[in-house]
Amino acid sequence: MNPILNNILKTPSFVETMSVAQWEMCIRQATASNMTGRLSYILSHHNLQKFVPSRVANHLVSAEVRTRCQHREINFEVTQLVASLNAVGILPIFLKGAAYVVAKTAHQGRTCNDIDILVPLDQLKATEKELENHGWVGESISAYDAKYYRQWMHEIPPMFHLERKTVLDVHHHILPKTNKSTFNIVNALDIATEHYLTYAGVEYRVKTMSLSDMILHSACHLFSEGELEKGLRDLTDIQLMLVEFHQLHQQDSASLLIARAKTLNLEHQLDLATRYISILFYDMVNLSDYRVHKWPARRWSKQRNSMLDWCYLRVITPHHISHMDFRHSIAALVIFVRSHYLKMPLRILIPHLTLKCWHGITGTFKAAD
Amino acid sequence: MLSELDFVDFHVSVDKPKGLRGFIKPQVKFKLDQTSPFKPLPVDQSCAFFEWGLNWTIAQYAMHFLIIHCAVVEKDGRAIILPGVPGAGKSTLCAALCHHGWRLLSDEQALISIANGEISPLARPICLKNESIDIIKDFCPTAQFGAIVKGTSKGDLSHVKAPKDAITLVNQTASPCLIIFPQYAPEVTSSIVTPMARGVALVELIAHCFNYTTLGQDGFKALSRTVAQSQCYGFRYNNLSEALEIFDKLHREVTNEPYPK
Repeated sequence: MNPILNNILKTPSFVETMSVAQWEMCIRQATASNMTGRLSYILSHHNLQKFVPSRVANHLVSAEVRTRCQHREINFEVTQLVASLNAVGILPIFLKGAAYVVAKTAHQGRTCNDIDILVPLDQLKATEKELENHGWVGESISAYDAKYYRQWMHEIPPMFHLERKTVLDVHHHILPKTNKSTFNIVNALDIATEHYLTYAGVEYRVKTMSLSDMILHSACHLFSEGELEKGLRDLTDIQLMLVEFHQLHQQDSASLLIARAKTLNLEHQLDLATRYISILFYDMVNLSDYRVHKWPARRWSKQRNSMLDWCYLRVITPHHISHMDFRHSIAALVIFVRSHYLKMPLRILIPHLTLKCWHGITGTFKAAD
Repeated sequence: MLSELDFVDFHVSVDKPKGLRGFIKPQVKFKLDQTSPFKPLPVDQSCAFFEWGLNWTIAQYAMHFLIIHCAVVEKDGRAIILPGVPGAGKSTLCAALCHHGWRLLSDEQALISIANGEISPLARPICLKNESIDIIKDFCPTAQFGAIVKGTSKGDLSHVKAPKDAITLVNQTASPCLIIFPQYAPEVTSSIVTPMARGVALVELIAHCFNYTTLGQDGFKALSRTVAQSQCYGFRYNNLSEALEIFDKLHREVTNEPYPK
C-alpha cells in the first residue's frame, strides 16, 4: 500500500475523502519527511484547504509559521555572510535551501537545517579566516582529516555561529572530487545569477547558481546521496523548479535543460529526476518532452534502470515507521552501497581506511600514556 | 466513525530500553513519534520527563498559539495569567487557586490563540518542587499527589492531579483579564500589589514567551491584544490565604468593568 503522503502528492484531490485517522498518519509522515510546510503549500495551490479538518490545519499553520521564521533568519544570515565576505573580495555562491529562499524558487514551505555556500578552492583559507573573524567556528580536527577534506571531499566540516548557533557548510566543490560524475565547478560559476536582498535598508547582491544549474545540482545530489530521509522533499523541490523553468522558457525548456545537463555530464540524473517526478507526482508541469527524449544508452541501461526504479520508488517515500518494511530496507541498503561506490573508488577508500585505523590504534595508545 | 476530537496531535511516549539496560541503572527515553529529541533520564523521573517532553513538543509545534511560560487559572470565563521565572511560585499559587474555586487551565503554558486571543486549557498535573510540596499538602488537603521524585535537575518534585472540573471542561477556552507577575518574598509582612503599566508588562512578558520571535508580527499582535484585555500587576507574597483573597478582589474588580474588545 502506498504511503498516504505519496497518494496526496500523486492525486491531491485524494484529501477530499480522507478520514481523521488518515489525516493523522499524513501529518506524521509529512513531519518525518520535513514536508509539512510543503504539504500546506500543495494543498493551497490546489485550492483544497476546505477539506482540511481544523485540528489538522493547526499543524499546517504551525509549519507555515516555522517556515516563515526560518526564511527571515536565512535572509538575515545571508546578508551578514555576503557583507563580511565581500569586504575581503570573496563572492560566495549560495546553494540548496538558502539559495531557494534567496532566489524565491522551490522556497514554498521549504525548511533547511543549515546554510550552504560555495567558494573557489583557492579562496577557501581566506574564507575560513574571515568567517572566524565574524563569530563562525568549526570543530577542531586532526591535520590528516583537514587535508583529506580539502583533497578529496567537496566541503569542510560544518562551522557554526557562536551566538546564533546557525550551521554553515562551506563547499569548495559541488560533489566529492572522488565522485565518478564530478560536476565541473567552473561551468556553474560562469553563469551564476545575482539577486538583490535588502536588510535594514541596505541592499546586498547575493549570488546563486542559475535556475538550470540549481535543478541539475539538486538532481545530482539526490541520486548520489546514500540516505534519502529527505528524498521526497528534494524531489518536490526539483518539480517546483522545473515548473518555474518551464514558465521562463516555455516550449524550449526541455531542450535547454537537456543541453545544459549534457554540458555538465548530468544527463542520467536529469533522466531519473524527471522520470520519478512523472511517476510519483501530480502533473504540475508537462514532462513529456523529457520522457520522449532519447537519453544516451549505457551498457546494461535497461537492467540498471529497472534496478534503480525498484529501489528509488521504494525509498522516495516518507521515512516513517508506518511503512518501512523489509523491501524498503533492502532498497535503502542498495542505494547506500551504490552511493559509496560512486563517491569512493577503492583505490582511495582502502588507503584512507587503513590510515584512519592506524591513527585510531596509535591514538588509543597515546591516550593510555 | 472517528470524529475530529479523536485526532491525535502528537504521538509521544516514555519507553524503557530493552535488554540489559532495562535492569542495570535503567533509563527511559522520551520519543516524539520516531524521534528522540533528548538524552535518556533515570527511570524514576519518567513522569517528569513525560511532562517536560510534552511541554517542549507543544512549544516547538503548536505555532497557532502564542505560548507564554506561566500558570493560568479561570473563573466565570475570565482568566488570570501568572508568568514567572522558575522559583517565583507560580505553580504553588496555581495549585492553591485551583483547589479553592478556580479552574486550572495550565500550570506551565498559556496557549493563546493567534486567531481570536482565547486561551486553550492544557489540563494536566501540576508540577510542584521542593518546599512547595509540603506547603500545598497542608493548604489543600483534598489535593492528590503522585510519588515524590528526588534529585532531578529541578530538585525534588511531585505532581498534583488536575482537579476534575479542569478535565471535564478541557475544551472550554477563556479570555484573559488579569496578568499578575508573582514573586514569593519571605521577607514581606503582608502581600504587596503594584499596578503595572501595560507597556512595561508587555516588554516583561516577551521574555516569558516561548515562540514570540518565531511568530514574527503575529506574536506582537497577539501579545498586545492579550495585554490590552488585561489589568497588570506585580505581586509579592508569602501567605497563600491572603493571596487568594487579593486574587478574588482583583478579579471581581476587572470582571465588573465592561470587557474591552
